[in-house]
Amino acid sequence: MNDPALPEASNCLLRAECVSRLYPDGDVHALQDVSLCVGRGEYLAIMGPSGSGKSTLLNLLGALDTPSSGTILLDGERLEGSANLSRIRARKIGFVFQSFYLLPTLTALENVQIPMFEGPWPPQEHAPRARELLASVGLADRHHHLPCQLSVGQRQRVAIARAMANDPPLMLADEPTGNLDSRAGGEVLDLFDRLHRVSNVTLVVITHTPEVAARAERVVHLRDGHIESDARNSPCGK
Amino acid sequence: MRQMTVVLKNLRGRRVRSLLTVGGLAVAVAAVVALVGAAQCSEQAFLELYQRRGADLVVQRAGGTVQLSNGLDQTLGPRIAALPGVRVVIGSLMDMVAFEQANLFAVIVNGWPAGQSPLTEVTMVAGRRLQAGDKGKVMLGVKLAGNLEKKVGDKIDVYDEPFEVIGIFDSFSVFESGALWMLLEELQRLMDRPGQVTGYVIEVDKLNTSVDGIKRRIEALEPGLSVVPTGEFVRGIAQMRVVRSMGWVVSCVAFFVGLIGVSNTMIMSVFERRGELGTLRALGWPALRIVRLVLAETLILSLAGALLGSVAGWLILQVLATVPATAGLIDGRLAPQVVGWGFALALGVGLCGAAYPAIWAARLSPLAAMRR
Repeated sequence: MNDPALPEASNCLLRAECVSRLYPDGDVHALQDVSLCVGRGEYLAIMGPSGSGKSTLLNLLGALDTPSSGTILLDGERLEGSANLSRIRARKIGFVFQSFYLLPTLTALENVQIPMFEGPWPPQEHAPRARELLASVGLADRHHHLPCQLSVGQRQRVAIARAMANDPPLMLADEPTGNLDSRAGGEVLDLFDRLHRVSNVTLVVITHTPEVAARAERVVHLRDGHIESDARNSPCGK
Repeated sequence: MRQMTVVLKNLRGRRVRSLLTVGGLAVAVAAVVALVGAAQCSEQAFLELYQRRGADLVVQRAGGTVQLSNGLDQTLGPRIAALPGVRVVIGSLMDMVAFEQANLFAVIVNGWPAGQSPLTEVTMVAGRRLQAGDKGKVMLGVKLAGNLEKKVGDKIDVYDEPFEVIGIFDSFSVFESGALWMLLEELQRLMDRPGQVTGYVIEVDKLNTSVDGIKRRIEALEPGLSVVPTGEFVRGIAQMRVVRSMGWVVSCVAFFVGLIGVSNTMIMSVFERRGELGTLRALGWPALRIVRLVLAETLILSLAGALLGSVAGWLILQVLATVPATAGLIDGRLAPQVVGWGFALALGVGLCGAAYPAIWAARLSPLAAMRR
């Protein structure tokens, strides 16, 4: 059930071709022959029940894992076999995780600077840029707070600021509202909307919440490691 | 923010473990600094004693391992003195005695010929110097007199014989100020070694003669003589070698104990933080940066341990220099190279101990680490 309005191959920022992922330990085919093109500036939600392969796909798209077969290209560069995976992750991908993964001993300001060590910014620009990013997520007054001194919603906003540290063209979010209450979750989704609209960041969000998926321009449904459907959201659904 | 900030915050965030690791390393370094330092200190003080007394060569009986108790005939002295180019010849007998009631177990006893250096050169603090014919009389170094709480006129038992303290002297050398002196004939009688000396120290007229030339001429006087420069002699003294060897043994033990401690700490630290390290990898930190992070944390712990251990080692030496049992053998000086050795040991322990955890952390799959 493919939508004719899906992005042209030439406009793909991220492209997966016949990607499979087999976990030999459990002899589990988490993904089988998945092909997907995510256009530049697109806001894509990936949905599916538990065990459908959503997180596996996100990990492969984010160069955190390598496919058993198939090819993934980010901005025209093949991910599998690349010697520069760290550099690709640092400069081209921003990650937002369900559990935030902030470093507990560092302040909000310092956490945001972590990806900048491998980014294009000279060291003297790290702190000012981190301050700007924290201000942009509404945490201008929380620079020196440790993660344990922030609410879960604030922690996720720090993680979003961190994901934007190196101005990556792609942001991958794995259940970004999974640990948040509805108000904090709504604030995070508003931030994603703004990032997508203002910065034209390509957003890929994993969720099993229809309300989260409704914010995206396009929704891919996975089931048993296959793409079940791939369609654009109708404008009124947003 | 610099990477060092991350390193320091990691260490501060796990304060107790960091402090325990520093403490463990400091104990190892302190043990090494104190023991190697004491050995070095004794050796240096002994060498200095010979050098300041102008000794160029030491003559002893060849082949013995316990050189301090080897003997030479007293008639050899005048024959050496007759060689052209020999300025001074001093023969003496040396032994070690214990004063158990004062917890002194290694007091040097020297027997000197009357009127000869260093008998005539030390500074008298009280009483007078030994003179020819002084029987049953001894001079005490000021440290020994203090440790034994003896003053001029007091009696002291040496080799189960009563001796009268007739003078108390001071010297630049701890080996002299901690020693007991009597006339050579008296010590020969007590040790049952009539006509014998432990060895001779020779001062050479270096302006007109080569030390090597004199060495060869003395060796030619009779077979079985060992003639060595003072530095070589001090380094070769069996007791010194034993202490030095013990220092190295303790260093090796300290290295392995420290290595186990640091390895344990860093492995635990890295295992515990695998989620954080996985996050750093996911956020684009390359393996090398992770290695640098782990190594930097360990090096800071090692440097802190080395610093603390060196200070503790120095304090131990100061205590040893004042405790009666060792005060006559150690003057409390700490050679810079010993501190350097302590630092090298701590850094070596740190680098070796961190190598495995650092490599393990660098090879961590971000995904596997974060899933945990």
